[in-house]
Amino acid sequence: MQESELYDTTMDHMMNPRNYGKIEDADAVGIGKNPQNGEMVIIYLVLKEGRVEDIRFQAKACMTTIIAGSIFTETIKGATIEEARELTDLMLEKLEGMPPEEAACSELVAEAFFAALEHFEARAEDPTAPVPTRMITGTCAIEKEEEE
Amino acid sequence: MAKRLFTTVHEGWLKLLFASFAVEDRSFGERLYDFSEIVYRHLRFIESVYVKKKIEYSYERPAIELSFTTEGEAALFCEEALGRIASQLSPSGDPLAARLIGDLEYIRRDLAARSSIEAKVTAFDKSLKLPGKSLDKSSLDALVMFLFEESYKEYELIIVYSYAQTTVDDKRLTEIFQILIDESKYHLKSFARMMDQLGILAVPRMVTQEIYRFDSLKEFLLNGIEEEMGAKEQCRALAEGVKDEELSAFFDFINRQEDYHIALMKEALQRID
Repeated sequence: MQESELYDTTMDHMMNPRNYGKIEDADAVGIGKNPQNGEMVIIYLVLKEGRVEDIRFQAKACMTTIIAGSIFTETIKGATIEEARELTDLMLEKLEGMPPEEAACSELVAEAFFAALEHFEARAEDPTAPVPTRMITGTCAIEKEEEE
Repeated sequence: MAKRLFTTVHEGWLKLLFASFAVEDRSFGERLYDFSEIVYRHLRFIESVYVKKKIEYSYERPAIELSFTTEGEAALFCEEALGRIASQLSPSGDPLAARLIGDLEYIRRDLAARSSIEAKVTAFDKSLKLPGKSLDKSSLDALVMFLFEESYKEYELIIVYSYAQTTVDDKRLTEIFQILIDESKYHLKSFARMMDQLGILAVPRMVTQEIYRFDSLKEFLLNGIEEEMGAKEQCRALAEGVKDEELSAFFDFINRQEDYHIALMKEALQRID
């Protein structure tokens, strides 16, 4: 993808984030949280026959997290749970090479997704299982700039 | 039904508001802005009835995509949004319903008469050009990010303060929240007009209940002060970072306004202590 095309795509996700919102009767919900600044992402999942039939996210976070959530949910929607898990692992692997403050926003989304999968598994045993929260360790770049 | 009417009026307000920023003909834009203010007042009128009658409602709403390409289409886009509100109202002898129906009838007629205007809308073309300005890439990137972050923040503040107003009885607190709503509306208008010129105008994402509802007014105000400090910092950084005298002066001006917001919120804190 050329730089101008990438810029255009990013802008598009900023203007119209995909899958933003709540699913009232979701099969699973997960929270990713940054304990350093309180930023968080909530993922809602509807899973049918081993596939991610619907996915939405909400965020109390910066714009970069919104872009990450928009692209992530658009990619994951329709995938099998296994494919979705592999894609998320791959994303986290790619983030390993990045400075923590740049990786934090995407990590927040990935951890929220893993938390939602944990919730799905826990609910199979106990339908009243609480919504899990997974913490991340990095600080997002915007927050870091403000601190400096 | 109650929840749906509130959501539809909320959507109608935002559609008129953002269409008002998008059209090039500023006299039409200002007319749309005035209409959007009327619909915002409808929302608040309905809210006060619901609060009084303890009817459940929510500021959550579906995403809104602005997809019109001409000013005539913008007028129709707004007319249809108001039509959806009108379809949920019926004359019942209630003065508020009569007021809403009367307003909607007039505004819809005015908008329908403009449906054939062919002037192009460039608010979503991602041109990333501000008339008469030539910003370097880092200034432009910083400005674009700031406008997306802060247009959402100002919308969030309007919602949060609107809801907060329904939770207090104290006259001065109500007045403080009203000042803050009006100030946020001005900031949102300023930022959205700039986004229109850059071709990146968009309706901010919805504000969730977890954000606008609060258990403790004191905590809400303390967090609000912290957020205003954050907004000040964002403005200061941008005023310094953007290499353009006129834009720097504008962001300094917004930054200084935030000082008064903080003073008002501190006054509100003292009143509840």
